[in-house]
Amino acid sequence: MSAPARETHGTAWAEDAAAFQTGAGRRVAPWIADFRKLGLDGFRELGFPAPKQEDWRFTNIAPIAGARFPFAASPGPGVSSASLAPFLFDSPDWTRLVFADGHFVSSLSSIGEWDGADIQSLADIMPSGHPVAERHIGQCVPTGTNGFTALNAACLNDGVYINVGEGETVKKPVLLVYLAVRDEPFAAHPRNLIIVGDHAQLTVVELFVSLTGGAHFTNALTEISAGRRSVVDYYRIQQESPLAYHVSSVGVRQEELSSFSSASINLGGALTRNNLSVELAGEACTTVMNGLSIVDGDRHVDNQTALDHASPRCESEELYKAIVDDRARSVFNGKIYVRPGAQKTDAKQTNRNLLLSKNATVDTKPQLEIFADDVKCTHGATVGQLDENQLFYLRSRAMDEQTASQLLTYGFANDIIERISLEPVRAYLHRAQSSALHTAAAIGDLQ
Amino acid sequence: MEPILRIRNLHAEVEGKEILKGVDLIVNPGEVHAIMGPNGSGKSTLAQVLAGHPAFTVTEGSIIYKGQDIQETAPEDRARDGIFLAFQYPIEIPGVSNSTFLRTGLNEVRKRRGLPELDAFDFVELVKQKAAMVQMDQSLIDRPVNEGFSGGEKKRNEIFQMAMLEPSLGILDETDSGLDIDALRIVSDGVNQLRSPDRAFVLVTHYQRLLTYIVPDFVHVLFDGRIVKSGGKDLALHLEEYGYDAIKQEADAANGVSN
Amino acid sequence: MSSPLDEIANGEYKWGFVTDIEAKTIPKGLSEDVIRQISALKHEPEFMLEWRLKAYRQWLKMTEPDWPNVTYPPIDYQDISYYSAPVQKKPKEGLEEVDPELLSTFEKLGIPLSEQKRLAGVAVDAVFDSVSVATTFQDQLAEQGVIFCSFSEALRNHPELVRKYLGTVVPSSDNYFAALNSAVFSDGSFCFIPKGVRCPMELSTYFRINSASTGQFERTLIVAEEGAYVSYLEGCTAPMRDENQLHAAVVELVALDGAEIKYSTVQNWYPGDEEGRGGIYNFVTKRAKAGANAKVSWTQVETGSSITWKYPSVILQGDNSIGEFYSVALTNKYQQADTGTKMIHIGKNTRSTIISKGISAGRGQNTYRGLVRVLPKAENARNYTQCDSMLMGDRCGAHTFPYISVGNNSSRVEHEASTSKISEDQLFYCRQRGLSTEDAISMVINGFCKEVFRELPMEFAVEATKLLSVSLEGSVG
Repeated sequence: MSAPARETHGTAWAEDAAAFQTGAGRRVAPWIADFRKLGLDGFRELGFPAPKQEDWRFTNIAPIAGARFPFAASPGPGVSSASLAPFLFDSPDWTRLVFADGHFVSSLSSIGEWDGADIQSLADIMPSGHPVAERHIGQCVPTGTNGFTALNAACLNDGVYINVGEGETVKKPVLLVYLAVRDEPFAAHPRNLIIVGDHAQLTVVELFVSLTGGAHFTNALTEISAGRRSVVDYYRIQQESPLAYHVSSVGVRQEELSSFSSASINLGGALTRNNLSVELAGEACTTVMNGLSIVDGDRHVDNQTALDHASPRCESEELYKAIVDDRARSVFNGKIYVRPGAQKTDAKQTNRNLLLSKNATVDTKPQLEIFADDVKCTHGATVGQLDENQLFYLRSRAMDEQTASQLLTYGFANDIIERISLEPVRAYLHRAQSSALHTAAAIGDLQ
Repeated sequence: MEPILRIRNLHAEVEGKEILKGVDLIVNPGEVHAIMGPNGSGKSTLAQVLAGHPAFTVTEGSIIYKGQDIQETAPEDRARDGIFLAFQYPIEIPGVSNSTFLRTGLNEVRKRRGLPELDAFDFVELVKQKAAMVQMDQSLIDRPVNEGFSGGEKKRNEIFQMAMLEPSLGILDETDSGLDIDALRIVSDGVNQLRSPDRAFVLVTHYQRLLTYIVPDFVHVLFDGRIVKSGGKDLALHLEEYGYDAIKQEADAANGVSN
Repeated sequence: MSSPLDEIANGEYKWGFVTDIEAKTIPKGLSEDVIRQISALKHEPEFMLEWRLKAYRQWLKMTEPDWPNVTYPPIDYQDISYYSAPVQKKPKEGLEEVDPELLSTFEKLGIPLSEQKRLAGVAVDAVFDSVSVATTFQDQLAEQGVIFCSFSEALRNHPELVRKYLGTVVPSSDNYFAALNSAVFSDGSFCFIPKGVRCPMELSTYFRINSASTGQFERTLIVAEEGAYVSYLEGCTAPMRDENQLHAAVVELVALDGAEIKYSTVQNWYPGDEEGRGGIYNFVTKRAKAGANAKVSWTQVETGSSITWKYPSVILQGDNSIGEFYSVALTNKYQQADTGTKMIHIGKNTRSTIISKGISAGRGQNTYRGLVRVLPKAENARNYTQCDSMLMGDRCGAHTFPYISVGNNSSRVEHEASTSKISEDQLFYCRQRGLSTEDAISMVINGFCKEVFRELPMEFAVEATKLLSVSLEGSVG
């Protein structure tokens, strides 16, 4: 990013957040007011992260800090079920919650009968006391983590509350669609609080899309608490406009024998920064973290993952890939901590990057910090172009060079998509990635 | 009769190191030629050079395939014209399914032969029929190319692909390595079914074992980048019994090297 | 019965004796006057003093780096003596006139200097505290035009060469410790291999800290002109003392077009005791610049020091240049190491290889930190990095921080890392088959470090193998 280093402290942002808190439309219960205040105090103290901070070295957020994205007081005009239709994964029966410019739109949403979970918009639980939400909010992503998490709390307005009861299996995936509707710049700070009880199961899909090509700022935050022996699948697809700024903070805490599986797919945005941290609090958990970014133009995507093996006998497998074209830049920083006593940890982390153009850049830093000896930890990172032997193999099977490279590039990305267990999501992503890669239709259609 | 393949004084190098130092070979339609030789003699290089691997540079000599010099021909055009290389180490391609891979290739080959593209239904039918030839499990067709395949499954996949693409010249590079007896028999049966009067094979192998299943018409011994001895199928048996040492000595003597 | 791994931290340091010799040591403290005094003591040319003072003024404005993954109490830079030299009865004219006490010290360290005993095929520059006491084989080397002498001697006899290359690879303001070194460095080695000459023997410097409360700030400069070749070895030890001592060295390598420099280090400074008391702070800046078709290879075996902070690097400036880094770093007891390399690919077709083996035992903390940067013009650059950690026991740590930055799509960069351990089960298995625990550990460790050891010159490889075993000795129950 070559934007001039402007204000990083974000005084104007703090003013906006303060104005939001005093003027916000709906009355909220004291615990929400307190939480917002905690966020504002935190943001005033922290400001936006500065490039000299190690975790922000490669991503300069000055374009966000220096801009003014006002809070959208209501959903933008003209959003209809027709505009929503392309984003429903051809699965109209899924539970879905639709947000427009950061506000829950109940007329477009569909929360069916009780399917094992309490599912509501967060705004709906804010007017009164809510002991469970109160206890969990800010636990998996501490408000003071950085300026963005503090700002999210300060501007807490809407999002999703999901609480899956002990032993319940939510059969249908829960789809969360965040539409950017209005054309003029705005900010949204959606926050999701997901609590999965012991022995419970849940699949959540978050989709961020822009209906126009305008500039806007999404500062999303999701907290997932996975109970003992629970199974949580979490997919995140970001397809915002090429002018959008997208920051996300996802925090997961896993209890004993739980299984958490995630995929983070990044196809849009001018500047994207994803923070995903998973704490393996209980023994013998399983964690899968997959990621795919396709970036071109002058876009920038930064994926930061932190996996904290705090308990023994946990297994984790992480695979993040990026395809970088034009003058785009991809950043990856994956941290794995193995705490003292976390014996028999088995952690595997891989980061693969494909550079398609002369002017594209990749910065990667796979990082291991190990304080236990009886562990199996590996990581690997590669940056390069398509494999010559693979190209030759395809050509020896009669494909011309262009088709062969397209197919390999497609396969490089598809490798991540195929790891997603929901067929409708895979089908959606096959189409989305073909268009992101400008792949000849023939190759995409073959899948 | 026009030979399918005529190699004349072929020299090839990789990273400045000369591997092939003057290979001559003529292969006629319907024939099966076995190229044998010790490790490092250049057998696999010869196979790769015929398929046009860009890592190798031909420095001298010519490769005439169906009357055309193919030295400047791209690997995909050689494939479309009917040259098929069964790789010694089949390449894994995560994210690309076997069927996508093969259908793309097959339709290119059909286009060159003036045939219409196969639709999805006909393609599946053809896959079924050809997979049966090498007793390949149908589930492998939808898996990513060679990824997670056992050694035997990879080799079967190569022969299956050959059956699908119906080449004029099949080059099998150490197809027998890493196969147990049962897999070897299945793979060999597959190849034998593909033998026909207008199709030729070049089998590159280190051991005689494969040749008891696929009986060659000619056996050539490649040593230090040259074919130093040629003969019928009995030559392979001779080698099996006496090893390559005798050949080496003969070759050295011919080159005037004394011990 | 305590387990073998529990006792890993009890290895004995065998180089910890003190030589009782009269020394001229200037009072503790650092100021411009002290720097003038050092320069005067060494009869330096004026440009050198100016250079030092400039570095000192820059240093005053700098802050100590806080990013390394190590912790230590603040260093009081006024509580260190910056110059200490053994008093010799008369100015030395030749080896024969070196104080016998010093000769016997080096002999005890395995570095015989006298004509009769010196190592064949290895020229040695022996540095004791702040000064070089002897350099062997100088005459033979001079016949080939090779200059190998102490830095002070180089300043006296070849000031123009020193001036031409000093600070061209590591500028005086490069970092906090390099600036400090530039201001106060006392001695070190200078090597110059003229165009097209293949240095006929290994060159080697042995550094010994003896005096208490002294810092050692040596500076080494190696210049290999076009097409020249040299293999250089460096070794170091210090007495056992309870306080920490600072060692802040700078090494600059200049490999002009087509030259090759092989630089090997066996670092065995005093690591501190079982409680973590004492030991050397080894804060070192080592860097090489490689011209077209040049090759620079760093090999290091780091077993000593309480804290190690060093990143021998290669700036691959010329097309087709090659950089290599082979490292074994062992941390035992309370040792901390933050070490690795930087490979900066600037020229086309540049290649680099990084093999790093970290061994953590006791309460040791071992960090690999590396940077591979491929600049946009470095067409076809290649890097391969392999970074393995071995943990022995559950109180130590192993950390990997590789930074990879690629701005060129014709290049290819690969990084792999793994961890492994020596388990009680493995040891039991070996012992059940008749091996002693020591042999079993040594076998596993040597296997682990094989790729690095084979890069070392023969004598050094043997030495390094022994050193690792000794450093882990007592691990055995």
